Amino acid sequence: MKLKIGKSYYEATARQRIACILDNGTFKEILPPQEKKISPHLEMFNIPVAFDDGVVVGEGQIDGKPVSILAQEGKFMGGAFGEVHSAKITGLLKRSLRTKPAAVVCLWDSGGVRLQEANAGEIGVTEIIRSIFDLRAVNIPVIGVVGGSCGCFGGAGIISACCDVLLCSEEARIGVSGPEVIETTMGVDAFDSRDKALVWRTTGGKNRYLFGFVKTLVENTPDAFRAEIIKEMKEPCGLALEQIEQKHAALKKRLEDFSGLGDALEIWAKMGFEKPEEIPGMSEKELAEEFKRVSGGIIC
Amino acid sequence: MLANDLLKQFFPDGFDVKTTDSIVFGAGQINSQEIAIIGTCGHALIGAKEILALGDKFLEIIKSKPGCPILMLVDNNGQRMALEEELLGLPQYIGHLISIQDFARRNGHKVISVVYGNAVAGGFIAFGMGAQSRIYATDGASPSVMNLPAISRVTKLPLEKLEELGKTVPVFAPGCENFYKMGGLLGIWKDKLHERLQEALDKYGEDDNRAEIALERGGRTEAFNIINEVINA
Amino acid sequence: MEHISLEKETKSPDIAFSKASSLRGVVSSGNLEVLIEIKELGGKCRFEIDTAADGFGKTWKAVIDDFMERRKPGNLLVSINDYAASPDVVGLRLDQAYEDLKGGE
Repeated sequence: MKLKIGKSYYEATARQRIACILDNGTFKEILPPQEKKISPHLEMFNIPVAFDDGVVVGEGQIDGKPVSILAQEGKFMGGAFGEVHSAKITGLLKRSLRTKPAAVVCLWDSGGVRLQEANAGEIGVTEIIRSIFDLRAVNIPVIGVVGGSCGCFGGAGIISACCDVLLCSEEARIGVSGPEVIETTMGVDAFDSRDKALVWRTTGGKNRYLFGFVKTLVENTPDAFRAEIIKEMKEPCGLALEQIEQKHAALKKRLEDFSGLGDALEIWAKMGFEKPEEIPGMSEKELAEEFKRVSGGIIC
Repeated sequence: MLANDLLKQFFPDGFDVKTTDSIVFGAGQINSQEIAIIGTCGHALIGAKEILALGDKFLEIIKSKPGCPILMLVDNNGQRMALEEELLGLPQYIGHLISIQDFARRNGHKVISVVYGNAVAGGFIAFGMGAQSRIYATDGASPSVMNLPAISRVTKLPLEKLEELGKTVPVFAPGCENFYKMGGLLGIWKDKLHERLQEALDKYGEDDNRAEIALERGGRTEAFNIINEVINA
Repeated sequence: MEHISLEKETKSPDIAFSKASSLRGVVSSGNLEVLIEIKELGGKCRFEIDTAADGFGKTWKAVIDDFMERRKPGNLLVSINDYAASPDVVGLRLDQAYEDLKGGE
């Protein structure tokens, strides 16, 4: 089922993204819609279910190598984690401990926990996190991809940070508390969620990239993501104490260097960019080159 | 200030704990075994600063006390909600703190979480539930994802309807009983805290059995079976 | 939520399909998902519809009668999760899934 409607990763459905990223005809879906594993909880809220509960899981090949793959459907309930949704993902991750694929590819697209199933989703998120670290402990790469309309917020934002690596488009947004939540809780002065430019400067792919949260900024097409995933599959992975300590030091330095600055533009200026206001308009390649020039590509 | 009262109940044989801002750190004695204590108090908000402080304590234990069990005392009002936290990449800070706890757990430290105050959403994931499966609560503790009025505002469902539904199912409303049924809490400790803690250490396991427990207790009727169906497909 | 079950029959039904099932659409507001599976139903078609918009039984019958009239299929189990899609969108998804089943795109 190849993409017909233009070539936007952002616009594509979960199944379309999988079809484009995997080698042709290699996808075998596990618990496909015909199995009708639906949410047992939505009916009491008069909300329609989805036959796959908003996430597609299965196996296939990329560049001839076996992979596990999951893709959240952001258009169903904001890609949110419910009981069945989370269990499908945890199942795939645990399965991957046995099948030992060349990579576990995770196409995240989620606003967080499904409130109607809040407790199931919350606990489910932590079961997923546990399974991700199980994989990383045995050096099976967990490659996170963010580029859909929901981005990654709440539990999804946290999960994305637990992957070995993140590949994102500039359209991606990653955070814990969404701008609307911050605005509702703390007031519009704390965060004007209707200021799109502010939202993207703060939580968007480019800021995440400049902070080393995202490894590579990818063009918004499934082909571009596929190419980056293939590159990442060749990289080392895993998580040793030394890396954890390095990250700890880096995150400490980040807080020292950049706290108290009110906006991403000020942060980027302090990073060494002469014209930070041009960053939103730069292409992925332009930004990567500029970033290298400014900082030697050092992750801070 | 973490109530001395609570610490005395856990460690009648003695303890030495210091509180700095909202971070609690120290050790207690239980049947001649030393237990490291890392926690938060005062319904702390978990932001970058708190995360780095908690991470420091974990790293200190990992490096200086191999094999020492760690008791995590959980009391937070969730993640700090601010533009600055999001700007600096709060998901990364939280993921990092979880990775430290996970490392400790995977490398010889029994890590037991006890919720004694609040434990909310991202704060609970960051510290208490993100890397543990042996999670308990004391009587009166309050784990939650979101309070009902807030759920009502976000989902546009009337509060009365939510309150009504919340009485019949454990899947969304706050509270120890609900988290217990959903497999999120292994047990709720009403008294004899130091005996409970010793039991928890004795029967400690490395696996994540929460979905199975949730099936046994009827809180999550699908999760365990689906996990296994996918594993065995 | 309303559940609607319909059984339809057509003379000389078309039961030649190139795949076992097809799914089209996503359950978002104003949209629906249509899952069509080939099943031995003695040439009949069965429609199992779960819809968030109550009281539109007549409209569903009309859309499905139209689909049956145009395509004249048999041995299809059609399962639908609907989030208040318009009749046009329902018809579109049915057609898309059907065409996929026949071996189109």
